[in-house]
Amino acid sequence: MADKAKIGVPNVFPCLRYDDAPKAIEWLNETFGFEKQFVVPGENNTVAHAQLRLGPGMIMTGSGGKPDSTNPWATERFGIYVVVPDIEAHYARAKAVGAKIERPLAETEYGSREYSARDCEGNLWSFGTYDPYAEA
Amino acid sequence: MPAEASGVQVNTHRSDEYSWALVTRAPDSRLAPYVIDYCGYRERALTPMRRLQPPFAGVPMIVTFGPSIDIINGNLPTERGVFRSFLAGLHDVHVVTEFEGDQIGFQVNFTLLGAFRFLNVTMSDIANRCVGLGDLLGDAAAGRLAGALHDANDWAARFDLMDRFLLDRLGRGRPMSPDVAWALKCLEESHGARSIGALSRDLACSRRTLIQRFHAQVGLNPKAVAGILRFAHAIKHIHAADEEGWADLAVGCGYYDQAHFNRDFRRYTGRTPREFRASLLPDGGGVGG
Repeated sequence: MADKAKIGVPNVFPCLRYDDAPKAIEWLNETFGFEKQFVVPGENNTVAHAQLRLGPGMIMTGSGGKPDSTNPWATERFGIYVVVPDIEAHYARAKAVGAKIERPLAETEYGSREYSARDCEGNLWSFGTYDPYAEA
Repeated sequence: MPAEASGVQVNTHRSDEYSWALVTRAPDSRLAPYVIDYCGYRERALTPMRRLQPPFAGVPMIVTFGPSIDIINGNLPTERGVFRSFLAGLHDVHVVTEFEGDQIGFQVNFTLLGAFRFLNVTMSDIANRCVGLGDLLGDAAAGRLAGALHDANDWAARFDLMDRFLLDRLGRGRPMSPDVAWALKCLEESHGARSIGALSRDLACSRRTLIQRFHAQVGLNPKAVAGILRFAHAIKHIHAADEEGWADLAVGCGYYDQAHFNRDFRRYTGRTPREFRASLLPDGGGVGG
């Protein structure tokens, strides 16, 4: 990770949720020039997770879901995901400083160890181990 | 501790030349996506004991705390390795294991999702190969694991230990990327029937990209994995096939016809389905080599 930081591989990813994700993805591609890296289908014409690329950067997107008290990402329309190498230490510091933890550090269903928190003005962030740029 | 209380189940077999005790317990439920099953074993063979290990959609890790075992590549019988603790990457050829005397050890069968996360290596580098555990985990960590399993008081303690070891290491592991994980899940759920074209269409990526990413994170390309899944599904039902039933079994498991089934069967085991069925060992002892 330290080496990667030197060569400038992105580790900060904007995340966008849409009511009609398949349509929004096409729109982003046609209008803003994004390209689909892949789109993981969800049930009933929803998108479970998609990664779109433009130049060296990437955004993550998917369909919003029903309100879920354990997962703010189900309904939040915008947030930021950051890959961090030592997630335990990162989580401990965020808690110590008093960040509002929306989702405690835990394994997600897609296998990332992640936590979600609000910043000092209420924006939503997630920090985790899943690295979309990892080799392979 | 009685078996019911600890959840430990034992299968024993005793004949003039061979005896074994195979001990199983369900892995911690949090390991479900990553581990198929556990098996502890203690065996004695007065004459060489050979077993055929057909391909399956998983990755076994074997930690022995006794004498070594020989691993023979089924397609290249001259290729023989001697291992004490090792991991067998995803194989689309069978291997034959052989030992004489005493064997005691612990086998973990990882799912393909679990193997990637556990090892954090390019999986195609270890496909169709057996690699010493020390080379993958480091000699110190591999030695500590084997030592702790050896020193444990009983099998229940060994299962507890393996649960803890895997939860810790998998917790620090890197997840498979969502597109490859999804493609793998579709293949597993369809027993290898989903086509690569359909998968790449659904994922909105090119065939080439999917194949390349899948190959690196799973170990073999999707077509090879589909073949293994179809075969593994078929051998689950092999007991039920009577003489007239082979063709039905073949078609029911997604083969074009019985000839297709027989060809794949020979490729994966070196035997006909009937020969294979006849070589199953009693008391859960696997397949005779």
